[in-house]
Amino acid sequence: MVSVKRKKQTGSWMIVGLFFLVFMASLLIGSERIPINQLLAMVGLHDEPVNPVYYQILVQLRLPRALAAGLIGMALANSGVVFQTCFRNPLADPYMLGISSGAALGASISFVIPGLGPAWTGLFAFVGALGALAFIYTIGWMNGKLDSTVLILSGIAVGFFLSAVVSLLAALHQERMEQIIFWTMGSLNAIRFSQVRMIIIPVLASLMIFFYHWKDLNLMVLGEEGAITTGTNAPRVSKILLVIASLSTAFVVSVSGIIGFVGLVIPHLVRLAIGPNHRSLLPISAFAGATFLMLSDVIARTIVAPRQLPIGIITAFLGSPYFIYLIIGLKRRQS
Amino acid sequence: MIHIRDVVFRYQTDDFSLKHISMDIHQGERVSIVGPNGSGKTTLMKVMLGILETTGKVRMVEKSLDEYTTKERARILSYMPQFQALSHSLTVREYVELGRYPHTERFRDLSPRDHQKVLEMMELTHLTSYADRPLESLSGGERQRVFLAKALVQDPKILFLDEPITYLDMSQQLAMLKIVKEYCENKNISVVAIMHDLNLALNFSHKIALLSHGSLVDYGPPKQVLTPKNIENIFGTRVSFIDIPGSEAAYIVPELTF
Repeated sequence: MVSVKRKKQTGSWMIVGLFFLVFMASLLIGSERIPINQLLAMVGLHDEPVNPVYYQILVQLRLPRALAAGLIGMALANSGVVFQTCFRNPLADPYMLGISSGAALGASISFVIPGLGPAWTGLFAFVGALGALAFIYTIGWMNGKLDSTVLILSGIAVGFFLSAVVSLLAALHQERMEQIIFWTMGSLNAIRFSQVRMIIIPVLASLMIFFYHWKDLNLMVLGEEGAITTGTNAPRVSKILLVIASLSTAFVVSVSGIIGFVGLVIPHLVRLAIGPNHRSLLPISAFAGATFLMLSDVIARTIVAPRQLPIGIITAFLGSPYFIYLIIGLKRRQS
Repeated sequence: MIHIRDVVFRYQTDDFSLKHISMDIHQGERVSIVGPNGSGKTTLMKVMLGILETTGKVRMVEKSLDEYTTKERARILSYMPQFQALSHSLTVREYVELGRYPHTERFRDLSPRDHQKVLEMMELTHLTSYADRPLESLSGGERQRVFLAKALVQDPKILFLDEPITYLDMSQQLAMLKIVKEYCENKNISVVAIMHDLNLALNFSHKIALLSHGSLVDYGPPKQVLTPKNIENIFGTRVSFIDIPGSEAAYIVPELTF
């Protein structure tokens, strides 16, 4: 038992260590490589004159981008944990209730309305995500009870419908097609401190609320009746947590576009490494999600530099092979 | 300890209902709920556990069931399910530990005392050597013992068992009931069990609640309730009784119709 516990602790510390390492790397690596001494000089830990160009790149571009990647990764990974636990479904992810397609439609509308600048895109995406979410929850709310099957099925149906509308808009406005496609694959290119300010409070608040419920989430593994008889009002708690996870996702999607696989893969990976206890699963998967997204962003902006790739392509390239590996591993263990 | 008065429950989706059920269960009593399939045994248990809301009064220990918070209720009632589908893999120890949650503060993890209790209950149910094995790698009988260990770790005043011996072979059935009987007698815990095996119900319980079509047909000491007449009326099977000389045990033997 001691060795299992130690293995889990080592796994946790490795993830936290990797987080700080990747955070540093995401500040230093890019089309312009910044020497580490310059970073140390900026925070007063090294005695050499600070290059003003480096300072500008670091503070105005890379720092907000790294912070945003970290916050978005945390929100998506923890929302993924909550969705998978509340729906008792390992394939659940924060986009399954139509949030991504609602946001994509909102963003696409902002692209095709003449005269609206990029500042409007986030707002439109957020309204789109909330609209889709409200619609799906209204359908899922049957007889005063939230029916998770109806919720998931209507999420799929509404998602397909909204995606079709996005494709229609792209087809009708071919001059905007590239912009729409780029947005639906996620990007942190346009992130500045204003976007970080927009998401920091909702994201941190949602993480705290999730953590407040770590024991409730642990008990949900028992199913509704098992959880109720072990002391948690599972239907009420899961309703609250799903709404908060959805809102948190809507906030981050509205600044980054749709970044897939984080909410699906990270909870799995962390659960394998450190076990199912949400007391550590939630904070460690937040760190892992942030690390994964910051790393993906570094790759997205360096691999074909000076051009930048949408970050969603990188997360899918990294995430899907791992997911296939997981499924094969699961099948092997079952047989 | 448990006072149930005029409980009525109706499912929205079908015609079944519990009809005006009233019964009392005293501290330390073992009560078996018996009846044919679909007679309302599980529904009645879910009403007692507060999983289903009902009209009528259900009073548990000190106050009415709806006056307790979910967590307070879990400190006095615990439930051993017949079957438990887990959404994620848990080890035996992780599963049993969940039973201590109602006794811990919101942010506190389990205390050394809680861990001690978990070890004791795993020992009682002969699970110590399985502690770090995933639940899904265990046999049906072993899993039932894990469910029991978790229910007992909860330190309840009333223990609810939903068909606790259905998947067990004969020796495991007896071993399981022996653990429940001895431990609950020792701690003065009341037991409410749904039982299919009338012989085991007859010899295990202080009282029997006989249900049919959602009504409580009879309630009282086993030999007064499980009479040949009642059994024939409710189960449609003719039986005779055999008393074992020199013991209080009795056996119900069905008349073979094949």
